[in-house]
Amino acid sequence: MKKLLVIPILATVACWAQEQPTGMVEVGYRATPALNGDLNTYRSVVNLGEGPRLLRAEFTLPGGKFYDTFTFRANNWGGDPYNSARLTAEKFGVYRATVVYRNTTYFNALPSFANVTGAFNQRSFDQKQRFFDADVDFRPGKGFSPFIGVSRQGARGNAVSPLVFDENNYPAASTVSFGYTTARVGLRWTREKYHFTFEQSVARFHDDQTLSVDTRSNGNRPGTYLGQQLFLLNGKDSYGISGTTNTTGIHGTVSPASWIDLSGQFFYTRPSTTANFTESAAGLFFLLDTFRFTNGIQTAASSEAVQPRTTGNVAVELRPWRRLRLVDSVSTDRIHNQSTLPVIWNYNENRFEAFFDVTKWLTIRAGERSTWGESFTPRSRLDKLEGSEQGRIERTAFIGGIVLRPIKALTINADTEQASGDHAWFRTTLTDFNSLKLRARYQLNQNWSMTGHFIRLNGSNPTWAGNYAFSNATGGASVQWQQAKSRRLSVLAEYVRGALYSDILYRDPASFGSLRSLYRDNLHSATLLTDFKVHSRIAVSAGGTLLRTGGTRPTSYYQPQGRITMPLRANCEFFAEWRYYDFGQVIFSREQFRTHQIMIALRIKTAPAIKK
Amino acid sequence: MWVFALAAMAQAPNPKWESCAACHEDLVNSFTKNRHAGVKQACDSCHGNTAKHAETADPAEIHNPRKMTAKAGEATCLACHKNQATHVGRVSSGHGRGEVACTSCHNVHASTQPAQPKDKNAQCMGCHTEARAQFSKPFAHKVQQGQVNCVDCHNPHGTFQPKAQASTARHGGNEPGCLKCHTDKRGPFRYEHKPVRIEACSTCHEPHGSVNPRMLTRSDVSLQCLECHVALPVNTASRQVLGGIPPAFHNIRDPFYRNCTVCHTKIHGSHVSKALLK
Repeated sequence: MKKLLVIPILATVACWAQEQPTGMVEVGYRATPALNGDLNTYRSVVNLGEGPRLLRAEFTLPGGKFYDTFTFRANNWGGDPYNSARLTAEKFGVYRATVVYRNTTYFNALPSFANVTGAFNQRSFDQKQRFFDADVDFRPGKGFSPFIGVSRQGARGNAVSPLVFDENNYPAASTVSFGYTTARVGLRWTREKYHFTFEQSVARFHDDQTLSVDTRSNGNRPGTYLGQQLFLLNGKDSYGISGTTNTTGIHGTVSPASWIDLSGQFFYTRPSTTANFTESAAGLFFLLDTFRFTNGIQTAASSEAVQPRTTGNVAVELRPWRRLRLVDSVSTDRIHNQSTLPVIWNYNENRFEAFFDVTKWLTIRAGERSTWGESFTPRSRLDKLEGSEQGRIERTAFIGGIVLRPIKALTINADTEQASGDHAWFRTTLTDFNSLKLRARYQLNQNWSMTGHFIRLNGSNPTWAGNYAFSNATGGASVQWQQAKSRRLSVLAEYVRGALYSDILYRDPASFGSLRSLYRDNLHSATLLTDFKVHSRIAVSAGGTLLRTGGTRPTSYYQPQGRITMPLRANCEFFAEWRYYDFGQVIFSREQFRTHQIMIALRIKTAPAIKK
Repeated sequence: MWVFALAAMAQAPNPKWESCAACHEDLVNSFTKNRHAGVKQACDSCHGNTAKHAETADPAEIHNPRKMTAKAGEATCLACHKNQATHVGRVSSGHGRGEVACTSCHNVHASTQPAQPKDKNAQCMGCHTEARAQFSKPFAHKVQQGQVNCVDCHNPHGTFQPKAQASTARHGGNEPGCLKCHTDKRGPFRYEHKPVRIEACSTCHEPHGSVNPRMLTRSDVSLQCLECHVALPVNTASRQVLGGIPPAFHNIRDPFYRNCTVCHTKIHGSHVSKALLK
């Protein structure tokens, strides 16, 4: 309720500052009269509850002595899971300030993400995440423009996460608290022919988590293990993690002559963390390392990690001839840490592309993109080997495309990439692939516009263990129509069809037998949004999104909605909104839900500002 | 307070507007609340010499970037905006290469009042229709609810990073853009899960949306893991890849072993367990 009051108070204060602010407030009440199905899934997907809400508040103050623009916006306060507030103020050429605050309730309790039995619902979260971001640019648009900023991102809440003791694990109540605070300062130096930005930031991080179990539990292994029933009487894990990150960034552009542009970016970060971990548990456990049973576990461990990362990019654009542009871009990204468990990762990319304007309505481009890199990382304990594991990536791709404007109203963009390589980081990284992207936009007249797209990616990664075959294709079209003069009716209709296919062999760790992982996702999505003015001031909106997928996890998700808006007084409108959520799954039918939502609300506007 | 003291430096109204306002009153009224209002020769900067147009009222006597080809229109904007922080990666961006006109997204005359997040997202999805379908999936970032903007993750002007991820813009330096919000996954960890560092989050997650919980790319966690963690003679094969081998006691016919993240709870990286158990 306090939150509900803050925004109108702020708005009122702002109104006192000037005589003629403009703005509006939307307040309403939401009801969910019939929620059928799984509440946990509903909360994981939609999570909109009942009660009074401040749906929207918006105030703009006319230019004053200390600002040319001053805007305050707030959305979805009073108990909704996603709410935000944003304040911007600017005095042209003097300062520009932006403050953003967002809350997100992250609720997730979906057993089916792990396996078909759904018996192990032990990775659930119920957290409040907060984001705060404040930036002030001084003398924006001027030659020297310093800026400062502060960000804070954090979360608190509860979770269910397992306590893991080798051959068994036990669901435990967990508390989570983490925060990341960044302060930054920088300077922009802009002249007609060049620009440079220097930025330095310092960040502090903490992550505290505890997991505890106070009652006897047999855990997730209901049967015996080597003839004994493993159990936990009580147990507790505590994590205390803190860290810092220092970041230095420089980027700039230079245009020394009309036929050449240069640009570059350089970033160096040095993140470090220190972790302290304690664990105590009583019960009966089996320790794999020593291959014996034990009745108690006491562990205290600490660790440090430092991971310097350097990233750089230089690009040049040459225009030797009016119709020709040559663009080359070289990038590198490198992690080299100094610890006893070295992580070395180098990733490099060179991209060259030539653009040629064949005519005023046709531009073609062609070039090459080369990617190469290597990594040395500690072997995973999974394979019981020590030392480093080496990975590589080597790939060369032909890139090409066209921009076609046969008539002024029609634009067609096409992109293609044909890649082949010798190495890839992982089995699911594509070494050889071809992609095609087509987009078209047609603005027939003021009333009609149409867009269409077709995107296809086919790829493979042949390895010793078998080939990985992947393809993903989506195509869609949208039509938008608006009555040009009266604007009484507007319609947006959109349809998207997608087909994703993935096929790979994997090994059964126990038998070493070869198994197949086949994943398909065939998508149909339709969207309709219509606005119709029944009367000069009564408006009706209707439409929504219908989504159906087939394949490995057949799912349907329908979100139709409707709204009617009508005036009560000159500055006051009433609106009623209906939404329906219907989430269905063929395999995991226990995680379905459907619900109606009804919202009634008032929109109260201030009188329009009188021009001075 | 010194910020406000600088307020006196504000630009005086441009006398040039007066002749334009005679016919284009709405545009000029809106324009005076705009950052461009501070530009000297405000209208002439983009539209060329407006004096002749003011006399004849002939549209042919004036430049209209919206009606030019994208490249010509872009040249008008970049005459001032080329050397700016947001445009450093422009030459590598999809929008730059595809010659998407600045006026496709920006309304140059509009007041500076920032657009609602939902409106911004709708603008992106006007062309990227496939994104609207992806965000309509049940497990997705809350873009349709207005909690997340497309520009929170992407820099539409371009960066040299894949998919124009905006990680280099003020937040997180050179770290993947996802970590801007998911700070608990930042690390560095003593024991890293390699894809997080090497290929970033999209190895396992669909960043826009998925029909699989946790926005995973597979509906079953065990397959998500085993597709990479397969018995491989690493460092000897001509096409070597990263990925350890699960020990043989992982009997994946037993549901206990198919729920990988119930044991490997710190799947994004661990400070104390090499097997990412805790």
